[in-house]
Amino acid sequence: MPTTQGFKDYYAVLGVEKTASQDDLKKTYRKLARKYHPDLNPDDKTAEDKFKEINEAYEVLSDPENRTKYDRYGQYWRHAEASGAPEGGVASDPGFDESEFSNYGGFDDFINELLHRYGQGGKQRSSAYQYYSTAAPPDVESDFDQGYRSVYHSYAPQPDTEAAFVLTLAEAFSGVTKELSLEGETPFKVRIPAGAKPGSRIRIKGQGRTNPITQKRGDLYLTIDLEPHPFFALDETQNLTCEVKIAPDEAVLGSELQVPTPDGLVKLKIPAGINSGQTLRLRQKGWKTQKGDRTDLLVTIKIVTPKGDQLSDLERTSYETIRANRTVNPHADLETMRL
Amino acid sequence: MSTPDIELWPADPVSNSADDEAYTYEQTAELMAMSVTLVERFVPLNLVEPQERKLCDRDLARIAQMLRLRRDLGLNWVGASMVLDMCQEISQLKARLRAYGVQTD
Repeated sequence: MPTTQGFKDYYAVLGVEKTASQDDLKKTYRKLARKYHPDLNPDDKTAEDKFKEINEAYEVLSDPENRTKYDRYGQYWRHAEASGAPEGGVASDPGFDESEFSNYGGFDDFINELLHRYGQGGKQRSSAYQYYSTAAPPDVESDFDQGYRSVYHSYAPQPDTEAAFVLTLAEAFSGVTKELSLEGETPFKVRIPAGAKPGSRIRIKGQGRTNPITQKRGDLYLTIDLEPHPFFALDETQNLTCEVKIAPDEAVLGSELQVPTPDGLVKLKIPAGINSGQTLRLRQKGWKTQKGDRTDLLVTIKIVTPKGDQLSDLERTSYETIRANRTVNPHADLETMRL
Repeated sequence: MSTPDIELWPADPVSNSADDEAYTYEQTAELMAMSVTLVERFVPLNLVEPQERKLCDRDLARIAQMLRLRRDLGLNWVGASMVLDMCQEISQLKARLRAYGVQTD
């Protein structure tokens, strides 16, 4: 921001012309306040600083009287009033005697004094608009006017701290310990219990940011996502699903297959006459539940028809024999169908 | 304010382990420099979710934020609480994007 020795151009802060009307000023201020409000920009220090600046600028410029003085005296507008400086254009005079202000710690003190927030002058905090998002109000007792200490005016508690993990199915199934490091904090370990499902929310007590009102550490919320697996998937009811491809003859005659489950291979009996899309249920071979139970593994059957060039001569003749002797005609009623 | 599925203590217990503290409406009003009536008005509006007329740390932080959103941006109570819910959802989504390695800014 445009500054000389801590001088802030309030018009530049708000991004308006010096000639802007009070109405325009108000509009611009409201727009910027919405954009940079610390409650809407958690964890964003620049937004917070910007919000303070905007408020400081608006507090001065919104009062027509102060604005006139600011226009006239520039950064010394406050002092001009305090010392009863004559009305007249000294504002842009760079040679204006600065030694007179040695009793102030800086320009900010003018502001603070003007706003009656900190009566003493001397070394003070740097902004008129006190708004902290830090864990604790710094030096509450020494810096804050007692009457100005409500939560409401001071520092912003952050919303709950959020983090997320993407786990593989294997990790989620058996549970895993992960290290989590939030920006600017010491990393710590989180044990994710077995059977987390996608979108699981985990609350980790005492690992969030410090609550400025009660001075206790808040909670950290962790969202779990699962990486897609090439074979297994989870459905909405936490059953584990998978798809097994079989040949037409296996579908007709039935078969026995070794099917992978979380516990290793399991024998699956495919009944004769199964159709594509039918699902077989392997009880207690699915996902882990919070109660320590297991859901089911749902095996969806897909009949894969071999292509013509994949068939051996014997297979082809066998299929031709089947066709010649077929007794079941699944499309017998086709010709009777009308719209 | 969604309820989590799982509540955990960190694997390495680091900080204070005092259980969730609860505040009466009167204590809340005092801490927040507001009236008890206002705290009571928040309850039927579902802006805070007390357990047996007691509020927790999260509720207090939420109230402080609503007070500020109202003061600074002129939002009404329901509006402020919607904004906070949305902010929470956004930070959840951002956290998930980060977990997938997507830059959020």
